Amino acid sequence: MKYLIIDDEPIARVRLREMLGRIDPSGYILEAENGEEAMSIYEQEAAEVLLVDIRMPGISGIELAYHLSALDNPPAVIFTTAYNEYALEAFEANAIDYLLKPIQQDRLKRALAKADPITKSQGNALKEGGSRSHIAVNQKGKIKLVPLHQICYFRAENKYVAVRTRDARYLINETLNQLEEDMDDEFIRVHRNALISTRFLEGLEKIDDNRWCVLFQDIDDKLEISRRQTPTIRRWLRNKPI
Amino acid sequence: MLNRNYHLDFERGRFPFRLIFISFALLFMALGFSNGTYWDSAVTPFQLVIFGGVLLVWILVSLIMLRILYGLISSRKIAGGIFVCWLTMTGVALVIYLFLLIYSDFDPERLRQLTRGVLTPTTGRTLVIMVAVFSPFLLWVESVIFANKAALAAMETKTFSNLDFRIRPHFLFNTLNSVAGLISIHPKRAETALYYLADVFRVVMADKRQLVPLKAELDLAEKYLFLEKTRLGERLKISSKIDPKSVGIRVPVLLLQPLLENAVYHGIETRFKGGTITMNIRVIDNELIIKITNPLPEGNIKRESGNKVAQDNLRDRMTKSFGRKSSLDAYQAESSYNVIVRIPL
Repeated sequence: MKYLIIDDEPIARVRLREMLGRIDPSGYILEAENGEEAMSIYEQEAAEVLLVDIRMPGISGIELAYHLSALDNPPAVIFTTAYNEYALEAFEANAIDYLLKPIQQDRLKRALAKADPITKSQGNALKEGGSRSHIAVNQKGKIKLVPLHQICYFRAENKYVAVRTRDARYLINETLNQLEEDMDDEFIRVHRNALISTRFLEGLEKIDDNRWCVLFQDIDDKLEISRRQTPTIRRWLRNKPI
Repeated sequence: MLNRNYHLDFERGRFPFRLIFISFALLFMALGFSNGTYWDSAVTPFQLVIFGGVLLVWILVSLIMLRILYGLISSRKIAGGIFVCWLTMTGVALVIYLFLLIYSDFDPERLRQLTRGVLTPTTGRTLVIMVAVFSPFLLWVESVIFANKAALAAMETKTFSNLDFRIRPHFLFNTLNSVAGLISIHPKRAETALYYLADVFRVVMADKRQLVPLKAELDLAEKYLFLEKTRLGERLKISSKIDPKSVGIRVPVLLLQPLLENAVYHGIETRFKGGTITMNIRVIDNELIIKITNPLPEGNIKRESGNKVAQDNLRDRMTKSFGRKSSLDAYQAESSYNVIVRIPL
């Protein structure tokens, strides 16, 4: 069995490693200090069971689990948490395993015994609890996490949604409606096919009589906006905090 | 004990219907016990006047006592307590009367004999009516007149008891987890960590009104930071500069720890590589100036709540001890978050 321990506290990792060694002496144990590192380790060596701390720098354990649940062969995820930093009821309701710190060995053993791969519906349930800070994109078979604050816009293109950052462009398999629902006010829908970040919004440009498009800082792309949304964006630009 | 309930029941001058109801029940019980015999004895107009006078005097005395009590004793709790005691004493007199009444088989003659003429059925009856009916009224009057003061007193006790400083459970359970981990790899440090954890919680649970020398606060801060360092390892670095003149200055207890806890929680734990918390303590122009700085959280993290609770609470406690001259200001610089505390000497 292959395990991956994800916790930002070194001693917490040592302790888990020790306990895992006692429960499953033949197990192979990997460690990561944070969600981002866990993702890259997971790509190279797909562990079957992940022990995930919830509060970590960068992406939280919750978000990590959400991204993992979207994979083809997701691992089993067991959360470790000090306190109800996340609503534990949500875990209970969706049969998501968690261990309270200080972690007890027999609890861990029990959790491992019934550990099942995390399902898509569990992942979605987790997403409800906290807003997303990253978008997981598939890049040459590898998963890359793109922070929301680097994203200029999302645009629906055929079956996919294009994600545009300052330096790159990715395709993701999500719907614009779903994305809009997940994002907070930082992103606004400017058109049926586009969701843009106000962080990069620079101004408006006239295309012809009553059609306008938005301009972004740092990138040259222009996106047409729907007539209905024009006043909203104008208003936003007027009140823009500088 | 007594006056805590008293404050709860009479906050904001709410009319004590429940108490009135109980007193009337008591009154009717007392009247019921006295079987017909001495209701026959007619009350003379002279007696009525006397009773009325006694009643009036009693009410006046109670109210004057109330005023004097609240004027003399600055603690609302104690003044309220004494007033309630006074009413209770008169209440006890009522119970004694009832007891004597039963003991004398409701015979007016025997009652008179038992009390050597001090208590007659009629005087006893007056007592019952006085205490049973007017005590709640007096309490109500008190609560109406002093509603604001009582509310203030209640607030005072509240801010100092449960609403105040909360250490994050997150810290407690994570520390316990690291102690559990340390036991096998570094038993000595595990032992130290447990002692320190106990010390930190002893102070957290103690009376928050007291002032302590800054030295004690620095010791506590050191223990707290030791625990956080156990957890976070290399990610937490501390740099402190402390003016030796400052260590004897008396400051509110739990001055540094909550601010350091905020710094760790927001400024270190959220960062991949952690960072340095700097603590600079100086004495300038009859003022103690404490500055605590931590790096800003990394990435696009939304500010978590919790900072303000500790700061507001501390500011409150400082104002209570030092008045308006003390201050707590927080500001965000380009890459750091700073808290400055000023305490007049």
